Amino acid sequence: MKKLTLHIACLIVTALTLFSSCRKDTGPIVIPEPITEPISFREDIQPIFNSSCISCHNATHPSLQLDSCCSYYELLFVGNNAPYVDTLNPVESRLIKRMTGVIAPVMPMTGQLPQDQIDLVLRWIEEGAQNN
Amino acid sequence: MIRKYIFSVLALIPVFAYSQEEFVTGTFRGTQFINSQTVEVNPAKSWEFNIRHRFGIVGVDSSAYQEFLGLDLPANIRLGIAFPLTERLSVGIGRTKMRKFVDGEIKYLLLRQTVSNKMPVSVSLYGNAGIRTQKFPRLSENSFYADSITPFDYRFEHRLSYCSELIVARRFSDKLSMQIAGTFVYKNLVNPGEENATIGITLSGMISTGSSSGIIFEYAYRFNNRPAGNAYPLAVGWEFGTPGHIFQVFLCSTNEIPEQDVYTINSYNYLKGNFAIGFNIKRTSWLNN
Repeated sequence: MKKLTLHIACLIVTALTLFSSCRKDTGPIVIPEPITEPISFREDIQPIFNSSCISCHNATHPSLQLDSCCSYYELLFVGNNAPYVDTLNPVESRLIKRMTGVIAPVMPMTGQLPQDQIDLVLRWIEEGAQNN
Repeated sequence: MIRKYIFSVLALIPVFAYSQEEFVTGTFRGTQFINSQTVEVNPAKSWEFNIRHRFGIVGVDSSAYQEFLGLDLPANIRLGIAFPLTERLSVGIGRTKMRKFVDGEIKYLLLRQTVSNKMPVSVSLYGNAGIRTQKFPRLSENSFYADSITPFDYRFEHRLSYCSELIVARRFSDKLSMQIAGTFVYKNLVNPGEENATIGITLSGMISTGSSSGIIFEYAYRFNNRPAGNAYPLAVGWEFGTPGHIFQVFLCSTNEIPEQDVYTINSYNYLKGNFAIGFNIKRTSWLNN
C-alpha cells in the first residue's frame, strides 16, 4: 500500500510540474506591408534557401543544389527535376508544391516554412522568376 | 457526488492491483507499437535501448523507385532508453531528429488482465513531456499572435508539448491482441486555425503468425484539429522478436515520431498511395541480481 501511495504521489507531482508551464498561444500570423519593389532573387529568395535549405541541398546533394553559387541555374535548368518553377502557372511549380507539401515530403523536412516566405517565393515566380 | 465516485474508483485500484490473481502476460511483445505506446511496461531488473526510424515519404509513382522507396530521402529517427522504477512504473527519455525534440516519458500499469477473466483488460496510463531544442525560424516583421494585435515573439514555453494516454488492451487469444488508446495532446504553441489541445483515439492490433512474429496494424483518429482528406496515421507491418530484441518493419503514412507530432501534424494521404517505410528496434538488457 505504501508503494502505491508513492506511485500516485509521483504521478501527481510530475503532472503538476509539467502542466504548470502551460500556455495557450496561437501564431505567428504575419500581416504583410504592401510591397512595391519587385522581388529580388539574390536579396529576398536566396536568403531563404541559405537559412532553411542548404544544410541538405548543398554540393553533396544528388539532385538539387541551392547554394548561392548555382541555385538559380539548378532550379531552372540543371536540377534533376528542373525546371522547378512554372511562370505560366506559378502555384503548379514543383518548388512551391514541395514547400507546401502538395508533393511529399514537405520541404524543408524540419517543418513547413512560414507562409510569408512561401508567398514570397510564389511572388518571385509570378513576377517571372528573374535572376535579379 | 463526483468526489464520492472518484474515491470509489481509487479505492478499487489497490484491490485490482495487488490481488493474487494469475495475470495474462505478453499482450504485446514490447512497450512500443509502431507509432504508439502499448499497455506494457518495462520488465523489472532490465533496461531498454530503442530506435525508431522512418525513411522519407514517397508515393506510388516514379518517386518510389527514383528515391528507392524513400531510403534516399532525409529520414527521421529517435533514440531512446527506458527502464522500470518498479514492477508497474517505467520511465524513459529520447531524442528525435526532427525539431531536435527531447522527451521524457512515464508509464504506469494500472490494471492487469487476469487469466480467470475477472479483470478482462489491462490498463496503462502514459504521459510524456517534450521540448523542441531546434531554433525557431526567423520571425518575419509584422508577426502577431492570432488576435492580430499583440506582437508575436517566441517564448521558452512555446517549445513545450505534452501527451497523455489511457491505454486499454486485451489479449483475446494466443493469436490476437488488441488495444485502444484515448490520447490527449497539448501544445503550447500551434499554427493559426488550430486548437492547442487535440483529442484522439488509436486502435492497434497484432495477429501472431508464430511464437515470435506477428502482423501489426494501427490507425489513429482525432476528434478535433482534423486533417483534410484521410490524412490520419495508418500503419501496417510485421513484427518479430528474438530473446532480448524486437524488430518491427512497417509501412506508415507519417514520418513523425513523437506522439505529440504523430497525432497533430497531418499525415500523408494513404489513399493517394503516400507512405514511408519505418522500423523500430528494441534491445532489452537484463541487470544482474
